[in-house]
Amino acid sequence: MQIIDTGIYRFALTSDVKHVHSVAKSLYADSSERDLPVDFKVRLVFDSLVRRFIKPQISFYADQHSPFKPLPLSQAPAVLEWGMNWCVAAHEYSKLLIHAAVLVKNGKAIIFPALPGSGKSTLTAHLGLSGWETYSDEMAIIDIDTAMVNPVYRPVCLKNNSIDLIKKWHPEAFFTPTCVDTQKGDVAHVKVLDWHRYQNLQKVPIVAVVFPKYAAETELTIYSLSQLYGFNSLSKNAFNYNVLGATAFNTVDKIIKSSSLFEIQYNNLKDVDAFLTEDIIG
Amino acid sequence: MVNVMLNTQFLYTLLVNPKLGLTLSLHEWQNVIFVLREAKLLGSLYHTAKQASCYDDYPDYAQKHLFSAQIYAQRQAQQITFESLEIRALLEQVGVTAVFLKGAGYTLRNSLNGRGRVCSDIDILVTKENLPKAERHLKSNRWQSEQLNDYDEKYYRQWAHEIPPLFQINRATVLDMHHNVYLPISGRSPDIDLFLDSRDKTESGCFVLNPRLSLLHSIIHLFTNEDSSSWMRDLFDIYLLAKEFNDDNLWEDIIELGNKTNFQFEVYCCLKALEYYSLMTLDRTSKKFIEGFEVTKRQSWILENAILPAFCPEHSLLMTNKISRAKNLAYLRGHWIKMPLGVLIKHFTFKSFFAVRDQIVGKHHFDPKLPDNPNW
Repeated sequence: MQIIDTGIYRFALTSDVKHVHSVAKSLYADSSERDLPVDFKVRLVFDSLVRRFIKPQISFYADQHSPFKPLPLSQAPAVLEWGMNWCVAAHEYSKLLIHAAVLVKNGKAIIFPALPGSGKSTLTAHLGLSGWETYSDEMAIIDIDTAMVNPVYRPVCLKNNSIDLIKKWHPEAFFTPTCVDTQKGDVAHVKVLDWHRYQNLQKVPIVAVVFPKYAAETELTIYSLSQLYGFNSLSKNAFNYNVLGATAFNTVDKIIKSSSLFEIQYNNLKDVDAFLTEDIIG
Repeated sequence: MVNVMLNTQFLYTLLVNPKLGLTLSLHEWQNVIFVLREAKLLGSLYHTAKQASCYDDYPDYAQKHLFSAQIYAQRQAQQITFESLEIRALLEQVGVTAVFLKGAGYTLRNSLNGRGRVCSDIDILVTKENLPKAERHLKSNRWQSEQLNDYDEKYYRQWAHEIPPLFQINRATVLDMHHNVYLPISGRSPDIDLFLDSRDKTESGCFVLNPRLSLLHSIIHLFTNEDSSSWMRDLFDIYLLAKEFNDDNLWEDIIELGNKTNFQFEVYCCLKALEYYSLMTLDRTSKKFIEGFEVTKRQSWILENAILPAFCPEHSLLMTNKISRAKNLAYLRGHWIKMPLGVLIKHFTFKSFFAVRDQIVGKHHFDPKLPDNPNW
């Protein structure tokens, strides 16, 4: 059994695939020393006799149950990260969870809700390795009363071309081996924080919500959004909005009223960094 | 360091006396949380701890899990109320009165055992005569049933006391519509008018069984069920119902109802189980009933070796060989009492074919129900 400590949630991992343990160790070894209880037990196991040997498949288990179908063995490390996301999204109702990246500078958070393919993770990895603090790549974890956002100790999940791009821009960063041919294409994780740096992070207020969209042919274009549009888009990106109900409504309302709201189209991350740093963080 | 002996008895004691939680170490809490999550009792502990005014003194670790479970249950209660009103209104259009059973019934009545409780479906009872028109009307109003294989379709239509589950096509709520509380094929279906006539109207306008019939139904449901995975929660439901609606004649009436419906052995098992897990001190009437009950050697063996140990939640932290065996026996017994031997053998042949097949090729190969991996 191996402890995976993401700061705010702790997991106990057992895996039939040794490789998964070594990947998890390379990402989380520095955080796993604390003697605390875990929130979730997760397992990667071979479920079927046949599928252990022919086109091998691996199943993810959250404690006693498997919430989704088995996937090809080659994707095992990615399955672990997705499964951990599932555990949090399916059990955490004391905080608002929004499918969004969170980047922080000078104690101010910008959240980036986005659909797959928007370039969100490339943006997060690059900025996270260029002077911003990455509070999350996938999930903004927000206190319901204060609307402050919490840091979580997780790597950034990169797909396809962005793996090579980030490797080129940040050769010093730590990358997990690439899982080939997952549902999302090729996948690798990059470490954007070390545990020491993470421990110094505090929860911070959200000052902006930015919907990013990568467009190869478009130089940085910024659209200011109405509060109504912002509210609608942000609430649709919340994982547990339907369960939290009125509480979630009020928290999203608080975020929208205290944030500037933008959609950006971009083809150059330096321009994005300059815009965020100068115009939003100020 | 884990000091507490984690077992079914301990978990019941914790639920009944939540102050015990104040003595647990964080690592003990961890295991308690895992097991209660599996037993669908996390939300219930939140409420009993709140009532005992000790929730705020629990460690943050425990609080965050109990709180989240309670929020989820609260949301579900809201949904149950909403769906029940919809179902009632729809069925009233064709002159059918539905009585809401089990979880939905507890929630609508707002009884103690509804608080923090989660359930997977809504159960209603209608007369057999009304069943076809109720089904037809629901099906022309956004309720559908899944395509079943011929065997399962026949199982429901010919032998069972309910029709195949209906689900609401927009909200995926599942509805089990019953015309009795136990399978007609068993030859033991009680006179259902006894249940239908003993209904109470709740504040929402929906009907539920009155507390005594509700208690009897919970007893019948638990002690004839072959699937023991929710037994721990179901017995806790019974304990809370009996506690909330206790008066001098409660058990006397339940025993009489058991006699009337011919579910005496189930009532006997229930009293034995409540006593075994220290949930209740038996009153004089119950004691007299237990002592006077002529239990056969086989029944007594089944109770000791199958039923009582099978209340254990199905979590690897608690499962022992003895408990697995008990659960298997409870499973066999549940089927054994349900149908005549010939039908039962056929039933097992079908079911074991599917089980073996799934073991070989993986259980998801033929199962379209589980979602694909969420694409984050």
